[in-house]
Amino acid sequence: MKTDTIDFSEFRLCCLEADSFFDVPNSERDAYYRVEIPFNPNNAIEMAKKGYVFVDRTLGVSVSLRKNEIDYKKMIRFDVRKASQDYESVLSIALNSFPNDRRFHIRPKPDNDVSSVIIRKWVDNLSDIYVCLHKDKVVGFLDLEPYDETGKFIHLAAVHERYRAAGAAVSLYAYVITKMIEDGYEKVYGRISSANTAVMNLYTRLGGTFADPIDVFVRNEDES
Amino acid sequence: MNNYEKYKQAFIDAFAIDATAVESAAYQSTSAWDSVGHMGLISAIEEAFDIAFDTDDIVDLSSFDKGIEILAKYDVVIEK
Repeated sequence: MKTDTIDFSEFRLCCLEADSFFDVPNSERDAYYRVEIPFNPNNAIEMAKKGYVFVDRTLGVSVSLRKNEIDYKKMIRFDVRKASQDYESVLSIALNSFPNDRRFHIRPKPDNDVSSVIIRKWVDNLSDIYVCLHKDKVVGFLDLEPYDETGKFIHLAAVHERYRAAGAAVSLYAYVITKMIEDGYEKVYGRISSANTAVMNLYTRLGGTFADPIDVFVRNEDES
Repeated sequence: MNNYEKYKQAFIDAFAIDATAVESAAYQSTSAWDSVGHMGLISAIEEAFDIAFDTDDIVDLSSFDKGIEILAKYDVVIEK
């Protein structure tokens, strides 16, 4: 089991990745918990006994970049470039883009005070950011992280609300994929919430396939 | 097909919606109108009328009616 405890000034967050509910310890009240375990139909019941509540099911996604006849270049309709001194723009978009995302909302009911602290830490740690522009203004971003020798992982991406149905996300993803093809990578990877149909449609359009469902749990705060 | 019918067909093809829902199609009220759906619509309209939208117009095309307004800039007249 992989455990990562993060001490924010406001609270402590324990992030656990386990192979099954058997391996997960009972939750304690002194911290928030976020637990990931592979899908199992018994997860919800067994995790409830340990003080957790189910909040999301995520899916792994991969896009094969070889033997792929999709014309990604044709999808790029916005300017995209590597980020450069765009921290404030990226942070602003991030803080306004994840109202229910369970990577950041780690209480049973979404809590913006808590999620904003976690989002800020994520943005602080982004390392390979691309930004999408319209009239020289950053309207979206995407961060790539190393994954393995075959490809990279789309770690975080978001678009300003005004541009979400304007194709900015398609341009961002298509640009990054084009760059990865040029650099000789075989695949691009990601993980998405099964509730996020917009990004699911996006990956499908890009040629993605889905696998490896993982259930996400947080500490149950119901005192009864 | 006249321009109006071609324009309507672009929406039907992009969003898989019924013909009766086309004239009220708008970003906030059409569930299939996400980033992918939008770019599908843009491609369908560009192909139907042999035009290439400016980025500003790609951003601004947020409803059936707005699209008619935008197409006029490209000398494409959509009349019922």
